[in-house]
Amino acid sequence: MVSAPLLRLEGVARHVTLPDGGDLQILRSVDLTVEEGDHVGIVGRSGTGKSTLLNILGLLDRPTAGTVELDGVSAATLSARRAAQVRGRQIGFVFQQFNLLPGRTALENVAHPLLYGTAAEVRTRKRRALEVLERLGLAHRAAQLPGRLSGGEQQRVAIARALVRRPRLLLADEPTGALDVETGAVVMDLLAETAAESSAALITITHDAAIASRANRRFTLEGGELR
Amino acid sequence: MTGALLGSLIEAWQELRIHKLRVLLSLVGVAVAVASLTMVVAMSTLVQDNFRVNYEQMGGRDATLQLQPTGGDLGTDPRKLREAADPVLEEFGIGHSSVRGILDATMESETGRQYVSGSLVERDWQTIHSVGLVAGRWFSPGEEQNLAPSAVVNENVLEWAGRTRADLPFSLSLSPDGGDDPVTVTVVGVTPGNDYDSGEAYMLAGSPSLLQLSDPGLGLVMEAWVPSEISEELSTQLGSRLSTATGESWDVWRVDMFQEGGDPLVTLRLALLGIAGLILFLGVLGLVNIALVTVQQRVREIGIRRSFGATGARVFFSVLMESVVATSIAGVVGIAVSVLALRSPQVLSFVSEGMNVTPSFPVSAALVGFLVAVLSGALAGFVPALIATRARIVDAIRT
Repeated sequence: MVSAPLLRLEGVARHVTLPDGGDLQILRSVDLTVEEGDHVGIVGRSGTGKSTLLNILGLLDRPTAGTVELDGVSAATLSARRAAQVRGRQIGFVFQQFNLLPGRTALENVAHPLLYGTAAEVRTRKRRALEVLERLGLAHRAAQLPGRLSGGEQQRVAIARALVRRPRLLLADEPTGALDVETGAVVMDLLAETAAESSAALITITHDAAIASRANRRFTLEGGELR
Repeated sequence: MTGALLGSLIEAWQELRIHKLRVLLSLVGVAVAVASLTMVVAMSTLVQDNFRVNYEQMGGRDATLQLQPTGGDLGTDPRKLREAADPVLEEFGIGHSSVRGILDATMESETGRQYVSGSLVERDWQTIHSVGLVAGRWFSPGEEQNLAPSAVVNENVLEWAGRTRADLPFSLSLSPDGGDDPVTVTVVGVTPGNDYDSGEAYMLAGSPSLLQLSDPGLGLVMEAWVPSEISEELSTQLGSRLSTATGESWDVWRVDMFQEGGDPLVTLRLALLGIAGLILFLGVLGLVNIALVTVQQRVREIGIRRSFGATGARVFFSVLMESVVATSIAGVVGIAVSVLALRSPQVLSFVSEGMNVTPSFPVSAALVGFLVAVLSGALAGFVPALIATRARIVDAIRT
């Protein structure tokens, strides 16, 4: 028996109704299959629907047409609560603006997703967060607040936070967008390396073709479709 | 479930820690209100307890009946009175009763002759009238057989006798009114003094040397502690039964001060509760206001949390818990302030006037204060929590 792919998109479309009553088609028909351990790069210019696609991939948004399946289970059948639980357990996000929680140390930021886990995860959250920070070479900065960290360090903390619940799918939205070229390259290496270590699939969405080219499979988002 | 609760509490605590100043300022009103409310509840409880003790000491417990023979010689001999009443009291299952007579006397002190209001009682008098002792002991069984009658006096008599509590037991000479020879009693216990410089002494009614006094008019009556709810019915039945059993006429009526019912402090308490309620309302309003502004500023942060897997219910609970944890802390502070205030000598002397022991802070008041604090938090956190759950994740992250 052939097992279902980790993620499968078929004919995914997304449109929004504009204030004047018009219809804006963001995604027309997106087909994509992602297996465990895959590294997928999606490149697209601004306004092509990259973030919309990422939101749909991460169960943050629902398509207006088409199918999204995670482990063979249609996302449309998941309640909002179940979708949140699946998101928490199976999907890790890395954002362009890092999105670290203000006022919390690097360790607390990394440990935060574990607060939505089981009682055991809540209890062991600090130890597990420190382990991930160690893997990313940031253990010595664990007690620092985000404002005291450099951009590269902040993104590494964000990566640690995305990895702490050992997700099967990592979604990176312009992960190097706020970093200089050199730091961006280091962060991308780290992201690919840590994803590979944990056998997680990594989908990087970027406008930078050089970043996308680091992936094993590359796509361009254009006209609401992946090419 | 345990993980969710634990996680929510940790999240709420982190949020409060990060926004210390905001939390502190918004909670001042709540802490003041809880302190006022707890103070009002505690003070009224203490004053009510004080009233109750005073009432019990003066007229007996709820309900105390007085049984008085109106003819014959039963009212002049405590032993005869006891023998006559006992079978009937036993028949009605009344467990606590005491003979009571008046034996006023004088005593010599350094400052001259002092008047002592004497009462002839039995052991159960202490239970019926909640007599508290500051030193020594109450009467023991069989003590009425002692040659020198035992006595329990108040602190005023102790002072007039030039004695201290450490001198117990000691002999004291009392001169009964009516010209009898002085009686020497053995003082075994001391009750609290009073502000009216009035000397009081309790003596065992059955003591032989007291029975030999020439004045037969001791005005002996019997007091019985009975269940309040049937006291009226018992009064009638006891009177009738005692008359039949002894062949003499008896008057039975209720003498305790609880029969009036009602709460003498109700107006004061309602006024104070009203003021505390108003302060609480303003405090909660301030809290809601700040929480609403804050939650609008935190939409992005809430969106990020949702991307980690926080469900809508979890976000609602977390924001609600922030408010509840904060007001709970304010509540504890408010309760602590009210405890300290109630321990101040001025307040303490007001609420404990006439009481035998220093009253302790009523736990019920602390519980009411804490409950109000928690409910205020839940109330103040509800609307912001609702707004937090309605934020669209995608928009929130983009903000």
